[in-house]
Amino acid sequence: MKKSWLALLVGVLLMLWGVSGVTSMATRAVAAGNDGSVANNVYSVKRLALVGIVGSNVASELIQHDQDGMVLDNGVRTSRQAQNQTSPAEEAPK
Amino acid sequence: MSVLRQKLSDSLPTSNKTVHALIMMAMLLFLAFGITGLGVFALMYSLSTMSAGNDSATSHGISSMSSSRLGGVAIVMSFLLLLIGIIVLSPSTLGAAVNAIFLPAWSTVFVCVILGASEDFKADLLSPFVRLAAKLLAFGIFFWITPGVVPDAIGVPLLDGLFASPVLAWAICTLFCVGFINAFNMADGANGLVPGIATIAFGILFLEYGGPIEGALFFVCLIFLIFNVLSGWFFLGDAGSYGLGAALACYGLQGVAQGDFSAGFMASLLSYPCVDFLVSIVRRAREGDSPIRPDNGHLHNWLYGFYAPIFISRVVSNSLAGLTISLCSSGVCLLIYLSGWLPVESNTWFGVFALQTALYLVVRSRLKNTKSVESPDTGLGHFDLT
Repeated sequence: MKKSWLALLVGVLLMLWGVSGVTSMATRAVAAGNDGSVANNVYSVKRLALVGIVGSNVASELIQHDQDGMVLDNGVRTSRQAQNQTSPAEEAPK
Repeated sequence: MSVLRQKLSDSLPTSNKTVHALIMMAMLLFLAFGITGLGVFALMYSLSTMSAGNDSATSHGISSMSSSRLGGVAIVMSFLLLLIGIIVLSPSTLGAAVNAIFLPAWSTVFVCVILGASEDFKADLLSPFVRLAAKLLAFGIFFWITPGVVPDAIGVPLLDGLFASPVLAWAICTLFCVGFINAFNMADGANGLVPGIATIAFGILFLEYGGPIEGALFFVCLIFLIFNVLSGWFFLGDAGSYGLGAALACYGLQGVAQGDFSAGFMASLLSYPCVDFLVSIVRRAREGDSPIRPDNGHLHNWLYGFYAPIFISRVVSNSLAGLTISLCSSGVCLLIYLSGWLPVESNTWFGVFALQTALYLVVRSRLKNTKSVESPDTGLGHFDLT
């Protein structure tokens, strides 16, 4: 019984370690201006150790989708980049 | 033949076989999913060894070892941990969380998970009628408060007339979802069958939407699939089949209502549970049996009967039966999707669904006719209409 709880605790800690790695990866991608340096670096050793071959591809896909603004927001696919951009009407000189 | 097979299977001590299987799974999961995958594996292993949700060896016709029905609980725990980790550790928030459908949809899925988990922890804790009523109520309320999930049309002329009426559309969607969850539960009778279908479905949803929720579900379902197929002692249980079925039903209807997918695409993706459910109901009605009585007349039982004389290990036969069906049904849909032969919005997918149904009927009839070596009385299927 104690072994089960120990395995459960270890599992939770390892999962949180992995998630923490993926979120820091996403943060670095945003900081780098989504230039692809993080998303395309699928097979780096550190990343493979953290999330493995499949997980690394999933993480890259997540970062790329977020970069392209493919986020479900109010049921409509909206572009985060488009939201951040100022509309031409607002940019026009008064 | 069966005595020899049993002797060969038992030639290794169970503890040694278990340790070998665990090491193999841990190595495979580390390669595929790294430390995070090992974390999910440890969580699943710990739940599989707990006495709660344990099935004794004698209760399974196919399995010669004790098994656990807490696979669904493990999937839910892993999924929630991943999501909570993303929310807490990430500076950004989930895009889907601001969606008006998010909370009602996941609350409905959660109700279904609780209903299933109650059955996994203590059989017959809730009567079949109470479970059925609870599911009808949960989905009825969900569709009532979020009418945007109910499609206006599904591309079938006769049914589109019914969907024109909001009340009829609400009633059809509620009944469909409850029926689909039960179909998913009924199909959960072989290793890798329902987990395989769910993994493929969430993989496609992840490729389409690219959100962390779909990513986490795909990630966890794939790890469970590997654990389930290789171990043969850790099953999805009612919590898993109800929960995954409810999540896929919600995603499917929302996708169809928003025009992201055609109804034909979703039917093709989830063809096996739907067709097997309908065929089983018709078969039992024709035989004069109760439609809610569990039996071993499903295609996966017949396929297991076909594989069993060929392979020494029962787990291999069981897993091969499940994987064959999931790959030949949802796998075909995945192949067409990845190759881009058909757009997901196309109604031509109804044709693919018709071909899958025909294939099901042909294979079923062939396996039934060639039944000779081993009885398909595997004890694999557990039909539970509620």
